[in-house]
Amino acid sequence: MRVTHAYRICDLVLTSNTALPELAPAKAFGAECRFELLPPGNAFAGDAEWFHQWTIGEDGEEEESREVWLRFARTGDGYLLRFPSCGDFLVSADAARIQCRPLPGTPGVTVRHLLLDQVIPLVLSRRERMVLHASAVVMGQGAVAFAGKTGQGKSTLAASLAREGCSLVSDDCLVLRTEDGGWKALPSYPGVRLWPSTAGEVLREDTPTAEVAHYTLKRRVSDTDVLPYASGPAPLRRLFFLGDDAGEVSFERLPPGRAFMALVEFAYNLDIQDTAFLRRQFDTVGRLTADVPAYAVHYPREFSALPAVREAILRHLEEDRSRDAE
Amino acid sequence: MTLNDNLRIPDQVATRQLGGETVLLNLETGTYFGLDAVGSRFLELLERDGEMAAVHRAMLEEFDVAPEVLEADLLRLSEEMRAKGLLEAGS
Repeated sequence: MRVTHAYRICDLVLTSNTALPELAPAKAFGAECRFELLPPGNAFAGDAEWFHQWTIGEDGEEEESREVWLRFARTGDGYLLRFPSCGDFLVSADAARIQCRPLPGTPGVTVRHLLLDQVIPLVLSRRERMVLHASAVVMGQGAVAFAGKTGQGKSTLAASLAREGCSLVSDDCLVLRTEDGGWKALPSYPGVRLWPSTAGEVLREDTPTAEVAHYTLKRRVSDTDVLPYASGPAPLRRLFFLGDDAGEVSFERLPPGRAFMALVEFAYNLDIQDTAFLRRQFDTVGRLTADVPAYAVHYPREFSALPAVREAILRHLEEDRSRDAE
Repeated sequence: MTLNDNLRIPDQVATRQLGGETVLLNLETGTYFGLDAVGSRFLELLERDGEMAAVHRAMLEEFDVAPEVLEADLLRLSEEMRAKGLLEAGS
């Protein structure tokens, strides 16, 4: 493989044999992970022990009738991640090498999206990072995270806050690390993915956007003049879990047990059967639960309500800081 | 299951106390489970005594509850936790 590019995503230096324009360049020296795009072809035909899958469908839909989005298998020397309609990603056991064999006809932009937004979070979890399915911004003196299921409004909320001057930390893959006795939120890479209607409402009409993948209408907004991007790690002050579509904004402090369960639900994990990893993740989530206050935030899912939501979050953080100071 | 049973936390189950509550993970199945403050006290006593009857006696002294109601609650919780592999028969 001839390495031609080097990039940074979260705190990972990634080399690649193909351009990844969504990422910031980095020096290849000290690269921790290599990505290789292989020519399009048929699905991986070697031995694979399938052990897990992610599906998509309506809430409450029977598992059997849901569409398989991603299948997980162990191979002789690592893992196979299969997106049935797009292609295969092979990840080495030490999570230091990723190869992609797209199915014929899968566009490059889709491969990049799957790599950056689906595979890399799993790879980072395998590299012992704490990775949450959450957006995050820097507000005032620290970062606040918004965890929620797909479609609950993580990106909309983060974009709305960034539009008002908060620095974007992540769109939906938040990497945390412990440092100086606290938790730091690491910037992932610039940009958010929004539905066109959301981009039109939250941002200016003429905001430049780019295709995310061939199978979605969502658009990528990467202009850091429009959405400021965090310059470095920021201390994590609050974890917000996106709650109900409610008539007004309210905050509900989560008891530790509920906060722990919610964090587990939104934590990435490449191998859910690796008991040694599960035990380490159990301890890590326990420490995070004990260190960072967690709240459910309920608010109206209407664009017109976003200014009030922003104000309420700022007020909530300010009131909390006053309580902490007393 | 009755109050005459002895129960223990299996080796493959990780536990952690968080602000008076307890979370458990069965590492073999990946099943997580949460206990509130009362459930946490049950588990604490069970780890200490092993015997359901001893746990029942201790909790009757600590909580304002009728013996038969407490027995039913403890047996229901124990059954649920056993079914999830979070408790097993002890010696």
